[in-house]
Amino acid sequence: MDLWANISLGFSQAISLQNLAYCFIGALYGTVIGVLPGIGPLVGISILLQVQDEQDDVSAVVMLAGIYYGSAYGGSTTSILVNTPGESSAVVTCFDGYQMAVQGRAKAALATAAIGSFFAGTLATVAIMLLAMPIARLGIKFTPAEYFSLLLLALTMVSTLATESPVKGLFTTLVGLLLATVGMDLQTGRVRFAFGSHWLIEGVDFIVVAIGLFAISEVLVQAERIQKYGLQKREQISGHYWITMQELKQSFLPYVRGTVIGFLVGVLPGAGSTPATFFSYAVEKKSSKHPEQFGKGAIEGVAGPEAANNAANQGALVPLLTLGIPGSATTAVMLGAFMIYGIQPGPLLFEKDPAFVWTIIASMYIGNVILLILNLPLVNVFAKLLDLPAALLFSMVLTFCTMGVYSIRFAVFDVFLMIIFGIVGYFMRKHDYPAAPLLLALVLGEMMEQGLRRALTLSNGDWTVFVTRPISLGLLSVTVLSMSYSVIKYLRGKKRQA
Amino acid sequence: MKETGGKKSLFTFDRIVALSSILIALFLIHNEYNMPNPNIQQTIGPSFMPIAILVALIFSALLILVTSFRIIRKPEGGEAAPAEPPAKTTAGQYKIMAMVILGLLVYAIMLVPVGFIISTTILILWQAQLFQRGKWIRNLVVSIPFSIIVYYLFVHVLEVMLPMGILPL
Repeated sequence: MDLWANISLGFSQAISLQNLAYCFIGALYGTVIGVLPGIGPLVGISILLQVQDEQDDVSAVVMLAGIYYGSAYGGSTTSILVNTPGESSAVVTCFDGYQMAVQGRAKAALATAAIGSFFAGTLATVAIMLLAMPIARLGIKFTPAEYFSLLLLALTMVSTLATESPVKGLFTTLVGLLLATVGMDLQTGRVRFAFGSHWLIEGVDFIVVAIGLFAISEVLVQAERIQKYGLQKREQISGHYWITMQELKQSFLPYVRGTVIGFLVGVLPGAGSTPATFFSYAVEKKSSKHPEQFGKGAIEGVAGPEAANNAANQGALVPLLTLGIPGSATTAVMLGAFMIYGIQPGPLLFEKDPAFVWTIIASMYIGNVILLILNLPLVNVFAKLLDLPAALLFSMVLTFCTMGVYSIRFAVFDVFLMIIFGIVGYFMRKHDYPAAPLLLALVLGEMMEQGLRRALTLSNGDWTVFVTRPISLGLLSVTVLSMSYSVIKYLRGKKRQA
Repeated sequence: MKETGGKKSLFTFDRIVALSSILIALFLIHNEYNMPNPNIQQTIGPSFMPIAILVALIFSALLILVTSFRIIRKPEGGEAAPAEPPAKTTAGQYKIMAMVILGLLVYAIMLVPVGFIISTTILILWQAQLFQRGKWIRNLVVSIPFSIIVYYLFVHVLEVMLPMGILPL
């Protein structure tokens, strides 16, 4: 009953003309950045952060969320038509999606991707509704000690589970934490690691790092690729009909499995949507009666991973909204965006401003409907974006990146910093140093330090507070367990390789 | 980040990263240790977190160093060459990437004194040449309106001030 009241409250706000308009803009922009290779939701949101502090907060967040889940819809279009994933979570869709396009079944591939995304997006939103309140109620009991332990857990999982090399993941996490300490200390006003630069007193902005590590390095990688292989042509949107009943039937079970897998993987910090898509693909291949068709245009290989991708995206919003803790690089940027608007997501937000939270959740249903319409009948329009010459596209991306960074505080210093992070990001990619943990650590670092210090202040300097409080102890135990698990797994893997 | 010095060299990318970050971390710890800390009654002051992170960083850099030696021993063990590096970046590829960066640097320097519209037009023409030679007319036809439209969009619709520079707008 409580839930129904909240849901109807959310819907009554979400269908206001203004919120609908922002939801539409978000979905549209999300689809565009999803389609365009080189910019994903992380960069797309980062670029936009400075230019939208005018409208009211709810609408802004409705739009941000639209961009976030909308980009997953657009990503599959590029995978299917060009065989170049728009983002890493759309890699799997290339396997069978592109094959379908080559065989003249592009429409069916696009349709099953869009319908699967819609199916998963909608079901995952229901799951968010059901889970949100219980988790937020648990979160309300959290003291700074629990928050510190939870942040530690999130960082450990992202740095060790989601990466090829937990050692390098740990390294980049620590670099991110170190970057987070640059600037003025909030409690004492002492300046750390500024080296006389007045720009650094304010710290290193996460937007600068995000755009550098993810967008500039991507343009470099693309430049490298194009220099060698030249420009790629896209496949035409072929096929007479969208999707047959038979194909829809084949897709249905993969949708269901993909949604469940994606959501569970997404809720956990660390994994994110890319492993969810690979996992779903593996499951579909295993449970299929004709596994030999996978990689040659099996529709299940598009349906499952696409559903998993969207469900994982939605799932990652659960810890962000209910506890205020992002579990992935993109949700970390979302948290940064929330903070720019002066919103602190977390359990308190559910108590203080339920209308806000539930409006956003309700808007996700509406956003998914809008996205289904944008991505099925109108997919032609977005596919035209892929005809944009890469040469011009990447120069425009560079312009928008520079503007996004420059407009933070009108400092050319930040632009130089962005370029440096771009070069660093390129080498990190080349040598398997994961960038996501670095960014997440940069966003969470300050929260973590404040949590630690507040917890110790509250306990009068007693360090045992972290292990005597049961929730904190539990979180720390999981941290230790997941860390030892990944170290053991890593060492074993090394042995097998050798 | 320096260039990777050949695969067989003792100074692989990972080792250079690990060693230089250990040196930098030691310097930063030294630096932080000598900072005057404010006299506020606190269990842990502003130096605690940075030093703790730096110590952990040294530890993880050592781990990278150790694992880098384990990986290099593999090919000697008779196994096939490590499948990791797919294709070596050629000089031509490094050159084009350096040109992209150079273009961005010049853009950053020009942006405020020369202004957004002119700088952006030049940036797009420059970058477009790097990806695809020729097509000057197409690029001009796209880049000039693009710069002007983005400028107006930012300044008048989104109300973000962009440097107007030498153009009398």
